[in-house]
Amino acid sequence: MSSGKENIFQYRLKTIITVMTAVIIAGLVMGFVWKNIDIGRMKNLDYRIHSQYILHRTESDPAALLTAVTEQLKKNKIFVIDRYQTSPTQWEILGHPGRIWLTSEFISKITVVDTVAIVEGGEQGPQRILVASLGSIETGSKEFVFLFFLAVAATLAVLVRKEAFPHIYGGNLKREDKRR
Amino acid sequence: MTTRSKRIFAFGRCEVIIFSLAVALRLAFMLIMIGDIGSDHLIDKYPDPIKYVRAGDYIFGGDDAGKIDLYLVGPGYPMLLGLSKNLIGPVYWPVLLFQIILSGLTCVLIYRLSKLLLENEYISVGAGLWAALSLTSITLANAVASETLFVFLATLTLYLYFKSLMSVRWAPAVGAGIAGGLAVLTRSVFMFYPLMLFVFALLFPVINGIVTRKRMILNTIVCCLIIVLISIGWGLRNYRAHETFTISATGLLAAKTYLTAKVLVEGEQQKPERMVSIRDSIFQSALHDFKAGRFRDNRDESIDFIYSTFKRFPDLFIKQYLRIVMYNVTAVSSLQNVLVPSWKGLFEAIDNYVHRGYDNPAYFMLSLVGFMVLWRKNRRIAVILLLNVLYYAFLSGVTFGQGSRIFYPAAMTQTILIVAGIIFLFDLLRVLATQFLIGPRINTKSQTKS
Repeated sequence: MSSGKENIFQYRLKTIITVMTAVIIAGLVMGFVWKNIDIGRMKNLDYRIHSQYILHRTESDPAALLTAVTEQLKKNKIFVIDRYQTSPTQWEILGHPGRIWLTSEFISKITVVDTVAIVEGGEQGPQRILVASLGSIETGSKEFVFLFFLAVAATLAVLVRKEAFPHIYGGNLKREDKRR
Repeated sequence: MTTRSKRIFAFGRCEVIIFSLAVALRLAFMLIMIGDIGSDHLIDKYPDPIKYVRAGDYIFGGDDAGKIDLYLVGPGYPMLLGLSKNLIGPVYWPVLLFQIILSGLTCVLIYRLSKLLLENEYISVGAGLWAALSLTSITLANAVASETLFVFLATLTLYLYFKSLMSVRWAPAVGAGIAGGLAVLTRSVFMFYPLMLFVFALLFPVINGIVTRKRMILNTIVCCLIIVLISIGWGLRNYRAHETFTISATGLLAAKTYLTAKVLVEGEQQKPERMVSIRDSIFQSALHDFKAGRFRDNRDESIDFIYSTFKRFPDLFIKQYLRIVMYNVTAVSSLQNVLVPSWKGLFEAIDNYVHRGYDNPAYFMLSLVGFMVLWRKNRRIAVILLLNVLYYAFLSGVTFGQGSRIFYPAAMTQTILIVAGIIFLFDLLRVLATQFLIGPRINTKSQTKS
């Protein structure tokens, strides 16, 4: 480094910038892949095992219930990220508490299933019932943040000059060399 | 090192500061705890203490109910409890006071261990202070639980062992062997540690040719033989009493009730809530076997059950095992909420702010950063420090649900790695700020002098 500044790295600045850029880009790609894996896991989660019943409606229009559930999610500050139909009788809504995956501890899925059943106490015989179930999984966002931090810190630990860190490497460098 | 630094790190001063701070914090917690829950409730706040108490009573000729507990937990900690009860009476605060002193000594041992291996005062003092400030260590010193005694013995073993690798005398190796043997009797997790000691003997750097590699291996053999002999003694006692050569049955039972139950729930596509009932039914059937005196059959059945589950779901078994290891190394202890319930709100507020619940990978990540930093200082020592952490991490994979308690023994070297990571990051920020924000610091003093 010029103008009297001591270089804290053991390589040229151009090399440092290239390596750090590569680490950051690799980290961002990893984050994108991790997010997609989390969403994929959530989509494949079997609602019959991992979800809890939350409500049911004896409505004939699934769209009305889906809109009501979506509104309810928004009220509870859950950001809806996807809404799709998996079969003629099943719909799913995905959401997480943060605006983006990185700030969300979990992803939730509401599964709405259109069934025909006999309503207890009802006199009209079998009726259409829309049943909604809620399931959640933890995201890997926290682990990703720490891994990203680890990658950056570990890369810096390799790139710096030992002499610039006297609290760790100072004092006994000659002794260190003998200890092999 | 400057003259001022030398004065600060003068011989004995750091040890006294670290020990005093550790003991003061633990005593303060004890006073708060006894004021909060009362001294009569030290053993009924969570299930583990009563097992140790019953086992201790059984050793000193008490109730037969402790026979099973002694088989499960091993004799080390129950012996201490039983001894205290016989000498002082059925009160537990003297044991806690003893544990507080042991915990303080452990912090000093961590400092000395770090100094011995790294010859760096900053990292060593930092490690000692970090251990003294650890909330997990503070709470465990005030709980009727075997961890504090075990960590003290395990740290003492490691310290004396590394001393023996630098010395031509036999005494440190013998001392390490005795401490290691007692550690196995306290917690069976230390049972496989002799293998680690052999790896350490091969890795440890030869300094100035005073001690040769051959002598290091000889010292290790002496140390390991003593550990094995002490362990075998207890194994033979169990063989006579229960017809099974077992040091402690907890590990196998934990693998059966936690790891295997978790694999079965997921493998058989059952609802996660079923996990609790499967776990409880396995545990109850084990207790039934023990009550009927079928200790050996239960051990054989446990091995068969774990092996058959592994054969049924090999991929899932390995996946769940690794998942539990990750869970344990990132878990945060919540014992403080049990010991001082009226402070729960305050602790939870701090935990939610710092840890986002009882799960925090930060310490583990800092350990890895510390490993990278120390790798450039001394590769062999860095690997030794990390291997010790990994030993406890991988052995913790059989059970879960104890917060960080199960992984806590790793603290003896993890603390050193964490502090190395923190000092590096602090120095990095300081140097970067000096370089890019404040500008280069001109040494005006020396210029004025010249």
